[in-house]
Amino acid sequence: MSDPGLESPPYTEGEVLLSVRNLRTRFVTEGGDVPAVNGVSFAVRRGEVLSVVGESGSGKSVTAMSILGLLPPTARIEADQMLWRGESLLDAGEARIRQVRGAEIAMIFQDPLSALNPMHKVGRQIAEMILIHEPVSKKEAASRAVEMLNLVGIPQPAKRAGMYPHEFSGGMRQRAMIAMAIACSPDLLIADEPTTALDVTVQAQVLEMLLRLKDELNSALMLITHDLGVVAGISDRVMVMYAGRQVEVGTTDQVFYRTRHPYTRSLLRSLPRLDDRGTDALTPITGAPPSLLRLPSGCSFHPRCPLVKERCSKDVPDLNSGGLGHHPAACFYADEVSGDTASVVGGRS
Amino acid sequence: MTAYIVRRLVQVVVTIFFALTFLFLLYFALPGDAATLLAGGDGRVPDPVTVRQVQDRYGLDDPLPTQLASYWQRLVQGDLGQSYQSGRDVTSLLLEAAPRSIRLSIWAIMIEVVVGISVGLISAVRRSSLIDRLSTAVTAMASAVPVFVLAFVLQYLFAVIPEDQGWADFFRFETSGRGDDTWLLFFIPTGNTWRYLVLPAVTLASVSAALAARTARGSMLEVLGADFMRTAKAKGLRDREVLAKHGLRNAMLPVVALIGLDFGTSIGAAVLTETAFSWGGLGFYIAESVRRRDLPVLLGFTTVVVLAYCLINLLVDICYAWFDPRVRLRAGTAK
Ligand SMILES: Nc1ncnc2c1ncn2[C@@H]1O[C@H](COP(=O)(O)OP(=O)(O)OP(=O)(O)O)[C@@H](O)[C@H]1O
Ligand code: SF4
Ligand SMILES: [Mg+2]
Repeated sequence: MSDPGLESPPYTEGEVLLSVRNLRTRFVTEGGDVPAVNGVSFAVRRGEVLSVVGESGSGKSVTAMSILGLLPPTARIEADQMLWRGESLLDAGEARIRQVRGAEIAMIFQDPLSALNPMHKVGRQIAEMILIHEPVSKKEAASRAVEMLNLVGIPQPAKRAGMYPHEFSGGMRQRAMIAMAIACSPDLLIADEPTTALDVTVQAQVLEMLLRLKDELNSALMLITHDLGVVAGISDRVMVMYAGRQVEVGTTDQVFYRTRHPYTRSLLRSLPRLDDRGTDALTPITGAPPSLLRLPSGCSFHPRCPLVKERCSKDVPDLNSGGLGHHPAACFYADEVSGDTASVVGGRS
Repeated sequence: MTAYIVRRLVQVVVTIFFALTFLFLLYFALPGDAATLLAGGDGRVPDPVTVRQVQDRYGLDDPLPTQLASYWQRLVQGDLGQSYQSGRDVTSLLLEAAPRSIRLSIWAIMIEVVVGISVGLISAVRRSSLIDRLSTAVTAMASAVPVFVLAFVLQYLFAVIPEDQGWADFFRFETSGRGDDTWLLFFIPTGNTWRYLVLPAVTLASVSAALAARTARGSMLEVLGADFMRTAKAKGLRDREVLAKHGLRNAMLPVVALIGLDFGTSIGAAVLTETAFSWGGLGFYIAESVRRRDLPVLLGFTTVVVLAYCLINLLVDICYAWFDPRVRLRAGTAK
């Protein structure tokens, strides 16, 4: 049984909340099937922060939405296994899935302005979450909503609860979104690029809060982002995705300091270096991600890979291809990937 | 909300003032001798005594501002003059014709709202289904066919054929007039009146209903793909709750706006429909007064239509603000 993405490396001892094996999600379109997620396996343990990184279109959001069944009807979701605290979500009925949504696994979306209903007051939208899952009166739910707003640091929460999303600033809207997500104390928070739409200063505050709430709720956080700088500071483990596949999985230190996939290394190199004083600060990755309808043969990354060799266009590497004794990487030449990326960001110490 | 309504009221009063002034100038200040027109119509030789009376009555020898002032004075007093054709007070004609138009419009709007919006919403939710394809074809046709052609087709299908074929009474509709013309609670037809009401109401509703259906379908499709709908689903709501609690109100906004905007077009359609079915409402009299060059009637009736148009637009705007907090608040803070 080899499923490195799922099994290793264990970072925390916590209960395995979610384990997904060989997730394949495709979209049926007129131009053909789009394989947006192609054989992804991972586990999330209580207490940990799992970051999912990759360029735009690599399948991060689709992976998250597949878990909760939030994709449009054109999506076809298959998996060998999708266990939520030991219970198969694939076999669960619609009613059970609805219980899980919001109450056990809650999502925070990227753009809080469009993710909140413009017609409903913020307090009402938070109270609705509570009313769906708990046998409380409307009045109780409303006062809990105010408490939640207070908890996420919104000043004058009672007054704010009576306002509409467009009356909030971007950062406050995302706080409100977070208040909604944690209202029923979920075990797992999935945050899909929660800070992308925010100012840099607000980004840090929001991330800080997510981490604090995760600890207070004793839950886990799955953080989807394309910002490796964010990842370094807060995550326990990192999963790197490229064109619908996992290419590298490991602890944050492993992925950042002992990088074993050329794509991850390119991503890290494209970050501004802290020790550079303005000279060639950014090295963008050359080329563009491939079209999912016409994936390159062999390793999907080979047209852009600096280490490409003959074999790369023939065989498809999987997470075992990097060899034993290291953290998993889907590259035949993982040993040749230099780890000189250590100075990039001050990882967690 | 109150601040918003007050602001809009002031705007409407100003709009009405300018619209009616413009209307007056259109009829009285444009080339052509208004007195001759008023006294007997173009192309005829009116009695000079009548022309004199008309000139005195409307003060046509006075300078324009004086004329305008006296037009407004008469208007405020509810004096709209007499019909050249029948000699009756225009005001009393109006009081007779307006309820007929209002009844017809009530039914047309009910058909528009109920049929149009539900067809649109169902097509959106059941996208690409047979129902969707069918309704798309029918609505495209309905909005393309001119009103009088539709009136004729309906009359032929539902009145002429049933009569020729001797169908059961229930399937027979009438094509002209108002029958018993008896009503319960102002708008519910009693006696045989409904047989006369159905065809003109459907005709008048058809164009707007088709437009409402298309708008509702489009906006619902957009809302179905909106992020906040996914958020609602991610909260654990049932699909139908997501639709009812989060989709509907958002999808209704463009439809409310459309119904308001469309009112102008409906007036044109009402003139044609009432004429085709001899319904005897405002539109019918406007068409008649144009044909007979009955200027007092034309001026009086169009004045009332302009007033109604402004007030209904106001009502639609208030509905819109009530529907959409963003409009309400923008108006509330932008002072
Ligand atoms: N409804 C859909 N129909 C067809 N293809 C889709 C659909 N939704 C997503 N995809 C495709 O699936 C792929 C993965 O999309 P996904 O949203 O997961 O990317 P992502 O990694 O989250 O990127 P981003 O950083 O831009 O959010 C993309 O190539 C996208 O075009
Ligand atoms: S398998 Fe080949 S092409 Fe793919 S990442 Fe490794 S070296 Fe590059
Ligand atoms: Mg995404």
